[in-house]
Amino acid sequence: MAVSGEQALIKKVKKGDLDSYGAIIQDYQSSVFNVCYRVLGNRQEAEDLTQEAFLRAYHRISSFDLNRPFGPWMRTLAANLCYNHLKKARLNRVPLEDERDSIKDDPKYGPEGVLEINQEHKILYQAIWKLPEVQRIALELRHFQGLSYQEMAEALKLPINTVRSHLYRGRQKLAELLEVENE
Amino acid sequence: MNKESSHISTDRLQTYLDQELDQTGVQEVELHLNQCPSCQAELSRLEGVFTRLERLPALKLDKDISSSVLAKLREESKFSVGITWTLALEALGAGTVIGLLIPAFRAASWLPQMVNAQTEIQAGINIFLAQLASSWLVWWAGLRLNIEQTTKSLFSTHYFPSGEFSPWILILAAAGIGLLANYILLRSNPIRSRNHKH
Repeated sequence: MAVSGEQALIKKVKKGDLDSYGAIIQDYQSSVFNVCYRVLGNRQEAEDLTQEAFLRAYHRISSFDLNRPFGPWMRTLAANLCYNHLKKARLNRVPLEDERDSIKDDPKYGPEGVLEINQEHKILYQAIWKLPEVQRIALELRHFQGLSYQEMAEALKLPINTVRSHLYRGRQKLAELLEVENE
Repeated sequence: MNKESSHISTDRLQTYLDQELDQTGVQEVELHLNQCPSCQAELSRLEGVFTRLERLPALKLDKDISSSVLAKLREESKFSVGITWTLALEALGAGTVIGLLIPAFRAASWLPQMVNAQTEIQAGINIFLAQLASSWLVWWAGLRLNIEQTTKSLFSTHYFPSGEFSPWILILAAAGIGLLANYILLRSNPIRSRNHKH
């Protein structure tokens, strides 16, 4: 969506126009869902938290700065929501694979290529989900949302050195897990 | 840079890859990398993680959630109007109750007992309370007169016989309004349906 068009929609949302918010949701629901899925590792839970993220975003829309893009703000809000959800629900969480998470036949790769890519994605997802929550969220904010260390510290309300440490450890752990899988 | 081993620490390499080093730091790291195969290998290992994360494709969300989010927001909006009315009614009820309590206590002869207290401090407090009570009694007498006159003018009859109109009737009425409002509020509470079942 063009930024000016998005700004106009958000201005209307700030005045309480729910139809405009519907258009915003349709534009961002997929990217927000992907954030939730990478952090939570469960499709159903990710869908629920995606809805919850949009509900919260609506209630906080008055604090949104119209001069900034909506996407990063929304996805950071969703990532934080999922992180807090994981902290609260400290259960023996087992990530659930779903056949919808695999690439279907794609002539670009051929049947063997598709199998290989799916296997690669599966290994990577499983490795991400084995990381402690705080390292996972640090990776999400840095690699998928492109936040700087400072922005990550603000989003997670943690000192910048702590955030950096979680990110570095997360990457190291991820590299080790992927190396084990590749052996 | 780790001086003991003469290699760049993994943390510093990560900062370099994140482009969070200052210009001097970048030059130092690149100078070292040009002459250190070990650090080059560590850098490649980390870059491999970056590349694999970048390749992770976006998944499709196979349903449109906008309608359900909007439905919940509309429900909350109705709830918000409901709670405003309920709070207004409850505030009215509470105000009525507070306004009537002191005359009721006066009627129950609580204050004379307090006025008979012995110590000076208590006497001071009692005088203050007595003054407060007397002003409320004046207010209450005026209010009762107004209610009686209004009732007479509305019904042209002594619906509330003079002297039998107890403040407890209004207190009970306020409590009833409060209970009714809470019942309406809880019946239409949409938050219950928002609880996730994980």
